[in-house]
Amino acid sequence: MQHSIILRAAWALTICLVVVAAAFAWATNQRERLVAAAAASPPSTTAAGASPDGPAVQDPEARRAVVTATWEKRCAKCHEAEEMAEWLATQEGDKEAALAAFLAQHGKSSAEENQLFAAWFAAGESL
Amino acid sequence: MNLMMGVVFWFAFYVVALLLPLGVALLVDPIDVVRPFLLEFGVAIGFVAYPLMTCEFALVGRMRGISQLFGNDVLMFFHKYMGIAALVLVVAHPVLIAPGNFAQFNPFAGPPMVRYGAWTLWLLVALAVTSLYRKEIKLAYGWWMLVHYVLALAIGAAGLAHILAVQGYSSHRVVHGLMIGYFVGFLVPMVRYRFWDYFRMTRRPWRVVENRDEGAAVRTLVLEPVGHAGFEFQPGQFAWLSTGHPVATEHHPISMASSAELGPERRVEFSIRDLGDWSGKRVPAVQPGSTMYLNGPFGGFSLDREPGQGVVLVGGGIGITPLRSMLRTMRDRGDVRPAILFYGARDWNAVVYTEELQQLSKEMNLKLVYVFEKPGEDWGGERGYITPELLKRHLPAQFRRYQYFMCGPTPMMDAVEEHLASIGVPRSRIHSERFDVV
Repeated sequence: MQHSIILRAAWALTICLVVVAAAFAWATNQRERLVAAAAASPPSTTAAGASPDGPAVQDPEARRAVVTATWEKRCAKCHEAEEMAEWLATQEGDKEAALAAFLAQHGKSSAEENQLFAAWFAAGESL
Repeated sequence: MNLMMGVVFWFAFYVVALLLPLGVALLVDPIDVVRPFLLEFGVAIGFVAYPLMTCEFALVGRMRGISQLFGNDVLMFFHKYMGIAALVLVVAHPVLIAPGNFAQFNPFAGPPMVRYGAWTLWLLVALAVTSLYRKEIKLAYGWWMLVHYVLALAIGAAGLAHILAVQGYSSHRVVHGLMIGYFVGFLVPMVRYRFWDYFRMTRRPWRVVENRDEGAAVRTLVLEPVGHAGFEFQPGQFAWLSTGHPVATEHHPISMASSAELGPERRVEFSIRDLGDWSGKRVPAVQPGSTMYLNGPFGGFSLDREPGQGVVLVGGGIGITPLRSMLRTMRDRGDVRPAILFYGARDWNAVVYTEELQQLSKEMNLKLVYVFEKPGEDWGGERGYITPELLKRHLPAQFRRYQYFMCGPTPMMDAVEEHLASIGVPRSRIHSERFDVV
């Protein structure tokens, strides 16, 4: 077999793998959106079982418990909590908005959970 | 199963093996929140990269059937290119998931999942550097092989640890089990040939009958089987050669140089050029009467697979050895088809088997064309390199119906491949064997 054919086959297969991976990402993303839209009413709850805006999370300790539990579920496998404070220190302007915008583009947390994290860490709280 | 069916079957099997985890993840999808496209894309790239890495070993695991189907150099180069693809995908995986987060590349800090991922990436970088730049960093072939196995094993283990620690798609027991299955599948060919094949080799020793100096820094080892029937091979194939105990010494892929029509003593010859390390020190010191071990035959570069009206052989350097095997086999079989040998070398001093080739040209329908890069003033034959014009001067009118076999230095083979195609030789009739993979 000619050597150039091997190289072309390797290129073609690699491109095929990347395209399939992109198709997978698109398909799962679409499905997750559909599931999220279906769950939008009634409002979803946090990992701790309490709404971040509900009465239970007004209590500082309960709020900390909710944030900690959500952090453990969504973020702790990849990140240390200290990273959030370090990252926020590099941001200028509205830190809460910056963090909420960043989380919307990254991670496994829902929009409500993102808001919870953004408010918590932007207020200078730690876990 | 015919050749084409076999190639299509195994290639399709390979592609399905690469995509299976992604398909299963899509079916079981345990993720319950909306995640950005780029994040999902990065995860999917990771789910493609791990099967790609674990299937790498199956390509070069010395499986005789697959080796003969595709040709060993095809598998070796495909292994190399897909290994580079795996490295690109492994780098892309974290970059897509968390762009700009350089902490995830630190193998000594962060949560276990991140550290396992970082280890996978850096070990893969080390494997790629030691393989692509082995000669530049002066890593001896034997040591490189050991390093390659150890790194590959560590990458497989670290990658699996990373996937299982993530607990995303792998939190589902089916995906979890499947990824463990890939790691086990990765170990099987390694264990098979590092242990089972080595064990078999020790049960089938060969005796060195002769260690002959051919000139031009080439030695020919003549071996005969001890207590067994040796092996049948096709002209052009190779075997893994070990000058000592298979477990303790390195193995080298060397083409059979003798006829595939075995004599009563079933002897096999290997010609080896001094390239500095094993071939320059160990091989010349091999004593007649000593024991060696072979694992073979392997490869799909063979005269027997490609029927044609005639045969054109293009050789350079030590690449002449499988071509010598082809010519001697044709002679021994009484093959009357025309054969043309283009033998590229620096000058007469770099040529081996001179008298034997001359004798063969009398005993069979063989035309010899020597092409010398720097011949003496008195040389009246072809000079310079093998060019399309030179090929046309010596090929018969029906050259498109011949089969073309090439073995030699990589630049020569790259050039001659294109020259042959440019003068109208169908690409399906051009066959090459390359050993200069690392």
